[in-house]
Amino acid sequence: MRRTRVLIMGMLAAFALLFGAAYAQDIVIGAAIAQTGPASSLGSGEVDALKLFEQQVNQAGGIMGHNLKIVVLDTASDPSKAVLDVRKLVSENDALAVICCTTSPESLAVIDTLQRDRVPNISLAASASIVQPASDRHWVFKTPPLDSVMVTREVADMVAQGVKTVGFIGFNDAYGQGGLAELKKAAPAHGVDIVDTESFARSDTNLSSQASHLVNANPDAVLIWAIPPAGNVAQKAIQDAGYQGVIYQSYGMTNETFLRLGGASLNGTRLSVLPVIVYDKLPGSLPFASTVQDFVAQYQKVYGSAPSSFAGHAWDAGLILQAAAERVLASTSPGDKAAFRSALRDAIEGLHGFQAVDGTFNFSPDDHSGLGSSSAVMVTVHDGAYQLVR
Amino acid sequence: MTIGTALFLLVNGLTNGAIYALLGLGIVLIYNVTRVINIAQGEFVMLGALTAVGLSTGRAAGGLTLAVLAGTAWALVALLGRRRWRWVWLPLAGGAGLWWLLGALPPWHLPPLPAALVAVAAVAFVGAALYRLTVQPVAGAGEVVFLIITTGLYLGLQGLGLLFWGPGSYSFPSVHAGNIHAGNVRVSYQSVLVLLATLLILALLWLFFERTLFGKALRAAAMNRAGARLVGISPSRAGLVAFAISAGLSAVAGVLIAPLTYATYDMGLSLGLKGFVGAVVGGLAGYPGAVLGGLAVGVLEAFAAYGTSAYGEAIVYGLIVPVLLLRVLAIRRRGVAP
Repeated sequence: MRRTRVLIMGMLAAFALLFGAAYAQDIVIGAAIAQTGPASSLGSGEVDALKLFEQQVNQAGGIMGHNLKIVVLDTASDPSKAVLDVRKLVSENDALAVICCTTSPESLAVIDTLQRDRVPNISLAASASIVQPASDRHWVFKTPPLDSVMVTREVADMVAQGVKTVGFIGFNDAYGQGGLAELKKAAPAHGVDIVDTESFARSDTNLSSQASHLVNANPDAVLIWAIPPAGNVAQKAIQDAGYQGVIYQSYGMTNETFLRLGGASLNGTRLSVLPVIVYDKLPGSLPFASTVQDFVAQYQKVYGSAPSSFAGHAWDAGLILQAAAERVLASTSPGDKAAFRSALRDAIEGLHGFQAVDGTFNFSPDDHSGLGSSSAVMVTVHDGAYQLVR
Repeated sequence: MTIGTALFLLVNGLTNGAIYALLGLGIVLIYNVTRVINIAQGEFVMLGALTAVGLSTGRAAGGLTLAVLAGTAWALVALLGRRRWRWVWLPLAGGAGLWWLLGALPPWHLPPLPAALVAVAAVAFVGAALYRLTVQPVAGAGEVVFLIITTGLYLGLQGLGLLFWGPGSYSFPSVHAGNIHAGNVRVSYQSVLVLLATLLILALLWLFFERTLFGKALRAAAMNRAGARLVGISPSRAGLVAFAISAGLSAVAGVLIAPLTYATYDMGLSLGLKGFVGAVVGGLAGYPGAVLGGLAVGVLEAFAAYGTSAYGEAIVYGLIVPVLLLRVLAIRRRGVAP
């Protein structure tokens, strides 16, 4: 009896192997996203976009006949949880590439793991140090534009507005300090003085002290470098402290929470945003305008609302991995994980003039961000909507 | 720093300090009566704020659902403790009925004040039920066991907050928007309300502890458990009331602070910790000490954030070290065994 059972099991196993080889293997992509915690309002859009992307690709026949499978884990906006998630995705789910993470602290925390395990990663977070220096970030790419691109666009707008002095208030973490570092480079180059810098923690709920310090320094403009709802708290505190000048926000604020919580108090706020935020106002002369509008149309059809810029970052991560995988599949089987991961990484680095939602990507061995200044669009807030400047 | 700025920071610090004072009062009250250091104190703030928001905006009133759940569990435990198996269906049916009623009723849009009152009552009830369900069964356990229990409560309540209200941020309308201008100092009406409400609550608590038999019994239970028991004061009943009052105080803090900031499911921990720092600064024993400690923490936080925003939080939490050192030194000098 026992021998028969073993025999049957063996035959079943052999069949499974045979059929496994006959059917195309899944392309497994792991995604570690902040679905809960302080960054959850960013993460929810990212997950929606990834789910939609997976569905669209598979409906269109997968990636060259291979089914795309995106496994999403929640990081709870916590860097140490993000590291655990990435380990799990790589070792248990056999992810060929990872999309991680929503925030800069998380993305920085997972770099060591990814570099060691030799898995390509596309980060959805802002900080430049995620992909710089490129020599130490061999396996790491990112889709959101560098802070330098967005800050420089805002400083140029300040100059156009006649602003001579600026005060800065931002997170005391990688995102906020990244924005400050770029402001310190861009402002002097444009003849704008930084007269005060304040910082606060993501979970702070009372910023009156920092706000009154800023207002006492009396700058022509204030730049807030945060995400909602903390960025709303900061703007409210500054306005409550009687500030009359121009308030600039960062592109990290551009989701529905920002406008919903702020209401009419945001009128006149200026910020440089990604094309997807103003998809319906983009001039057709931009080479990526149709990619943006196509994405928004699909997203709206399924979810009923326009996507956030974070959803766009996630969509671009999908587009990039899809394009790279198509190139790799011609020569490498996804069954050989190490070879496939390495070839996938090389293919991403080789993408040039790639039109996506965040703009035109030109990756190179020295540039794992790939976005130029063409992707920043300057807008103002008016009655709960963005208006194109110029 | 000008005088105007200093006054502004002072008022701002006192407003936040009043919130910490309410939390610190709750922590001290629970600690005195039951020897429990309640890590989950801040979660009552979150429950109070979000329940009030839910009741006034027609979102799922998770706080009431939690109260129904806790009440059902409480009744079950009470019945099973007396081995009355036959009546088990009663709380189950009652709980299910209330749950159905909550779901079936049209979404509530209560005005802010009734919403706040219902929220405070619901959270006070949840506090009492949590005492009955988690602390009372192990009443004789050491402080470390209580610490672990309340850490579990903190994690559980935060998880339920996420489940009921999701990860979003909600604003609660202030009773009267706008600012009072006194010279060049601005004070928002909500700040005045926070300070007045705190004063009122302190007065009520004083009356309760000094003028009512039950309040005196609570004080007796806090001073000497064994002695209180000998004169007929039930420690478990005292603990129940302490938890209910403490949770209610924190819910009041939550309702008061919600219009000043945004209410989120994870707002509790940092508020609870600052309340704890305030209570420790005040000596973790007396109620006036807890109030003064909370106010001191609020003012220190305001000035620290103004002076050096990067280290504002570190200074507040760091305060606990020198305070404890000073207390130890003071005890040594007086020759009392530490």
